[in-house]
Amino acid sequence: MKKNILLIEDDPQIIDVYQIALKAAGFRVESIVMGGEAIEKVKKVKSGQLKKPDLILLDLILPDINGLEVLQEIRKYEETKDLSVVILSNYNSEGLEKNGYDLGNEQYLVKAQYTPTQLVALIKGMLE
Amino acid sequence: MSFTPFQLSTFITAFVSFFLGISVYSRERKSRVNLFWFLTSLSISLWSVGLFGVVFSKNEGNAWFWQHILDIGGIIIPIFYFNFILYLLKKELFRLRILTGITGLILVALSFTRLFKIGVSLKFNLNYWVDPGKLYFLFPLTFVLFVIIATVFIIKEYRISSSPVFKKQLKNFLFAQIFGFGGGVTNFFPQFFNLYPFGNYLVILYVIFVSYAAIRHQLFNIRIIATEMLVFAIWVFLLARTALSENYNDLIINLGLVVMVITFGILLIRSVNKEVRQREKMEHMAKELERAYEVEKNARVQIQELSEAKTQFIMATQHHLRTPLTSMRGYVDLILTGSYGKVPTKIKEAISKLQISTVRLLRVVNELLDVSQFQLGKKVVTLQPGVEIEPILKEVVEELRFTAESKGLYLKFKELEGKMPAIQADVEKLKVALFNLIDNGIKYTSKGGVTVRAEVSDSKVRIMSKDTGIGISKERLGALFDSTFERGKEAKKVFSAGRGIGLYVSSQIIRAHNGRVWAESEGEGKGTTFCLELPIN
Repeated sequence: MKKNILLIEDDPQIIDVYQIALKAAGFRVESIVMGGEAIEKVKKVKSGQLKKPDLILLDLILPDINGLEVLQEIRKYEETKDLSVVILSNYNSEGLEKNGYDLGNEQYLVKAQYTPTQLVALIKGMLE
Repeated sequence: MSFTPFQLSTFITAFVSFFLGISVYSRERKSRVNLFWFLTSLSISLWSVGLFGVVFSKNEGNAWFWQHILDIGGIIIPIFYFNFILYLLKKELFRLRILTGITGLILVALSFTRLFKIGVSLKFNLNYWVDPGKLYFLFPLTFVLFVIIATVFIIKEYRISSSPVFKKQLKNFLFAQIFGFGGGVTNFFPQFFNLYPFGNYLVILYVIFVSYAAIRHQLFNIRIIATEMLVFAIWVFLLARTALSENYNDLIINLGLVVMVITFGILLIRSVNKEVRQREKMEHMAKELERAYEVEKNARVQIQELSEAKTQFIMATQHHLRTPLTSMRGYVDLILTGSYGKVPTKIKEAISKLQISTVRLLRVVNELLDVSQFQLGKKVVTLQPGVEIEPILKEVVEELRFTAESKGLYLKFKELEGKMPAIQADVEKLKVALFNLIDNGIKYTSKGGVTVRAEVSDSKVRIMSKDTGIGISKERLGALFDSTFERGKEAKKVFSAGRGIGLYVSSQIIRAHNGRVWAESEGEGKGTTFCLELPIN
């Protein structure tokens, strides 16, 4: 059965690249651009209206809100708090990474450092 | 010898005004406010002495002499007082000041003529009193006019001032004026309305109000003034007693008392002076401290703002440089891994070269970003515990093997004996630091190669990358890792595209790991060993 990945990212080309690579690797991918929309999705998962994704790829800087706010929302509810979250960002500041880890994310990756192939391998490793 | 209450009130006013003026002026001679308060007090004192003389004179000739003194004092009181108020309220109004001075001079000159006064005669139970001339009315007129203008200024300032202390001072000045000038103006009543100058007794109240203002609201330094006045009053009293001694024994006792009281008086004044000055010094220091604290607080805010601006700059640069590179790398990777179908060999070769260039560009961008982070004083590493160093070393060596072999060099990694302890590290940054050090050896080696080995000693992990390259002179060894990014002539010949940034970045990363990095070389042409040490705990 295909695993579901929720991609929260605002750059259209990066969305395109990740979607192609992840779909080719056999994942079902849904992408969201806005942080507000992501929070709505989390609430729907919490209320049982939507199925839990197997993994979330979360960009930190979104057009409307900070990705860490989305992560806070995920960790707030019993139903969603154990979701696997990988932060993908081109920022690497100690503060951001620390905040991310404090909020229980599993990986903090600098996007430019990973090719889609490397990212897919990493995700497969996590989901196994 | 006995005094009437009226005579006594004029005498006390003269005495108190004189000492109040002297004391205030001696405290701060450079202050214009103090100077004009002093002149106002002296003119009140002069007027009071004149009035005392007039009402105490036994004949008309003496009374006429003292009347001149009284008039001069009386004319200049409002002039000086008005100027005092202007200085107190920090009003320049130069022309108005000149006008008050000219008015005073004219009136003083006029006071010696028969237009001002025609003589003195006995009135009420006051003894002698002035008989006014035709232009005498100008005296009360200017007196009242200046006092009214001063009052208007005080009220205006009272309304706009934001300082509660200054407002209270002004309020007390207003009360002082009502009693002082209101009482003083009744001295014109006998001349015009044949009324007794009952208000003269109130003049002393003006001194009391100003003193109250001083005590309660730090107008002048009243503790010293009060002490001085008390001491002087006792001296005058004892001197008078000594002068009136009835016999030789009394004289000796009184003289002894005078000497003793003068000595203790001086000591008392000095002690109060010292205490007040110490207190003032402490107040001054407290204000300085407060100012210094304010400066420090502002500086801290500015530093914080600057730091935030730096962070914003770094974040924006990271985003704008790395995001397009991410998609470039991504699409190249997708093409090479067949996501867009089978790629012809020639195109694949070209795309592979594009991939190498993209990775190189990414490395340069990362280096520049790291340099800017270091130079802006930002931390770039996030240390994680339990990091195994051997796999990192192997990965970096493998990554560089192709580069070394393409130059015909060997790249050896001497396997470790036994397991290496885990360390605290930022894996990605440590890879960058190791990559730069080993890569540097490959870049500046034309024959032979590079050998990498690691060892554990004194709770430290030591990694060495020994090359057979161009070597480094002893003079350049010290500056190898600094931020000047300068390279030697030989280095530029061997590797012209180098930037000299890599070693600086490596040293900063290793320092951020609480480790140290250095280079050893026997000299030019004798190869180099790059060493780094990382703490195990």
